[in-house]
Amino acid sequence: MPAPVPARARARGTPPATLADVDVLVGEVRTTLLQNSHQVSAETAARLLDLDPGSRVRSATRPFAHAVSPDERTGVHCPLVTSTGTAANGVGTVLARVSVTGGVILQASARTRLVRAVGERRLPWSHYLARPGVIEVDGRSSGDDLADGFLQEPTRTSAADPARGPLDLGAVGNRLLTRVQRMPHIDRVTLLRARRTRLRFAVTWQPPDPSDPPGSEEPAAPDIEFVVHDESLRTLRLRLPPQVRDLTDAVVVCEDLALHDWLLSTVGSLVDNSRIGVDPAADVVARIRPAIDHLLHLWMPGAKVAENLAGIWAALERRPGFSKQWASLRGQIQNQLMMAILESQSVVSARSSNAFNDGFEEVSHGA
Amino acid sequence: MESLSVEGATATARVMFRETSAVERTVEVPLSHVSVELGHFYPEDFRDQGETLRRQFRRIAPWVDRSRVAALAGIERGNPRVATCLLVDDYSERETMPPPGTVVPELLAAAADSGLRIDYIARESACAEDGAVPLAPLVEKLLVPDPPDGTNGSRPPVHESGWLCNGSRSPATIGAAMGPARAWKPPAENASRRHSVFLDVELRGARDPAETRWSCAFLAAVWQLLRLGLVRARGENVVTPVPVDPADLPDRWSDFPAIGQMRGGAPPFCAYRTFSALDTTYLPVEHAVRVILGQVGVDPTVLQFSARRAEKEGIVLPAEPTGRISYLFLGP
Repeated sequence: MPAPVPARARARGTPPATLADVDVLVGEVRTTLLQNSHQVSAETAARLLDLDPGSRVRSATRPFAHAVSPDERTGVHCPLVTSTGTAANGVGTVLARVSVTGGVILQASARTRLVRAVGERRLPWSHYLARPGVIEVDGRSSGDDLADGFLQEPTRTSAADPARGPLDLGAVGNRLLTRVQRMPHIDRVTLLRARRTRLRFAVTWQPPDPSDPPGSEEPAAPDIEFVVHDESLRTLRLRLPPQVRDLTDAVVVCEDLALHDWLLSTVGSLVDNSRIGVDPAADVVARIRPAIDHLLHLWMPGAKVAENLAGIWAALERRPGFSKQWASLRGQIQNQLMMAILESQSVVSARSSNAFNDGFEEVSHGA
Repeated sequence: MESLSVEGATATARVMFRETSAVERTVEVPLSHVSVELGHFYPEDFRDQGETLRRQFRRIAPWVDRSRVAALAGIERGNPRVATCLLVDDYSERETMPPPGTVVPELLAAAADSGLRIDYIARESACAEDGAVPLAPLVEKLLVPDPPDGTNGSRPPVHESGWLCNGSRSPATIGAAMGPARAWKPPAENASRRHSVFLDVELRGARDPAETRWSCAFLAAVWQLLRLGLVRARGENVVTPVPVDPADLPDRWSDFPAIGQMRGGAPPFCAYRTFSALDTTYLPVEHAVRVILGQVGVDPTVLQFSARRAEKEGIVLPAEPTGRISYLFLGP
């Protein structure tokens, strides 16, 4: 696999940390294929995601079929990893949801906002439960320290006390995926080989720029760092302009990026393993066919992303250029389809000319 | 909802696009200032021609007069909207509860003797699974257990089926038959102040496996949530009081509405705050109720609905459900 590729879209100075203010959105998105022999209908998708009788599944049909479960809350009280090693403990809740896109892609995302605890003492649980999706963090670590710590590989983290592992958002999302994959409404037959990818993200906000004129319409550009670590792990570090405050919108960007990254990885590896140029094109097409049937039409980067965050996709399209790679994959697939048609025609014409020759020979024999 | 603009040659067109099924929808419910609970009644309260009832209401009446309740509601002037209610236990001893035709007139008469009016009478079985929506299983699914230190999300919450506690249980000292005896370790309350008051609450049990029996504490927690207007099923309201004619009462409790409205023009059943006047024997039950309510993940939009509307009336409402509940405990 290639070495980690940082895609730094626009560099900006790291904001100075003050002890008073911590506001970091961290999360992990896990993307995989729904284990079913065909794409599920909107009704089945809604039934799969019906995890909470109090709320309802939200589903959309445009620009593609997409259904999202209500948020599920999980309580945590655990250490948090910091990049400097400063001790930090958090108490609060994690929000997790699971979605089905195009009736085939299953995604779970778990996220929480890290803020500084007001006091030293842990408060009654009802306090934390009334603020869903927030973890209050003690200690003196800064937002950047927590954001960078969260994106680190968790191996070198819990040396101090192995019994107290750090916050594990991936496990929360994974449990949701497992729950959906075990539901009775699907047949657990896999459409194609696809790896489960995980995208860890950490979002902070740039401090307000005093040089910006007050009431400036033009928001500053976000700062993006997207790293592909191996076949399954990606990390995304976002520093958003202070005006862009909607956490839900930020989570949607990360889910959208994870989805398209998964599409690229999955279709890419399918094409890589399809023996192009080795086997007849018809065989190659047969191997690629699940992607043609179920995945190719789902490529719509940024379609669900809020307008004020569209710049993130625009930057990622410049480098590393998701859509360029996708267009190249599509081109490869289309070429194989063309080749398959041509090869089948040449087989047909070869056969028909053979038949003519046979007939001719018969005629000549009879003559 | 999405909004996007399309750059045109001369002007920018604003497009609002929305799919109804893609938007979260949560209904609001009408709210009083305070929901006053005048008691919780068992079959034995109806065995002496209303004497027990009259005694209960006589003792409560001075504590629930309008000025006291207005002060509790945080209203400085004006008329508070106070809805009175009570709960009849037709659940734990279904067979022995006298029919509505006996119970309701006795309750209304005994309350009137002390100058109290009863706006709503609810039956406890409706807090379990016997209403239009099975409420107890719905609320149980909303539980987000209070995590002990060391809970990092990697494992599902430790959950003794049907039980809920406020900390870490004492580890079992009798476990592996042949293993060495482990030393006892105390349980611990989360967020305790130096010393623990550990509580482990039974939410439900089953006399036979086919039938879940919800505990009094859990149903009382559902009852508090209903009175606070904090329960929704798929975003919809679950509290619909039905007017009851005291002259025409059904023979069976199952034919009585989940929440019967006893008086036309009564203020709304749900309220910003609840106030319950109870016998001290309910103290442990209400402690359990608070442990449960502290772990119910109420929809944050619903919590904000009431907080925002209270604010418009100049009332500051605590963010947490447990902060919206008050009690009066009376000795025997």
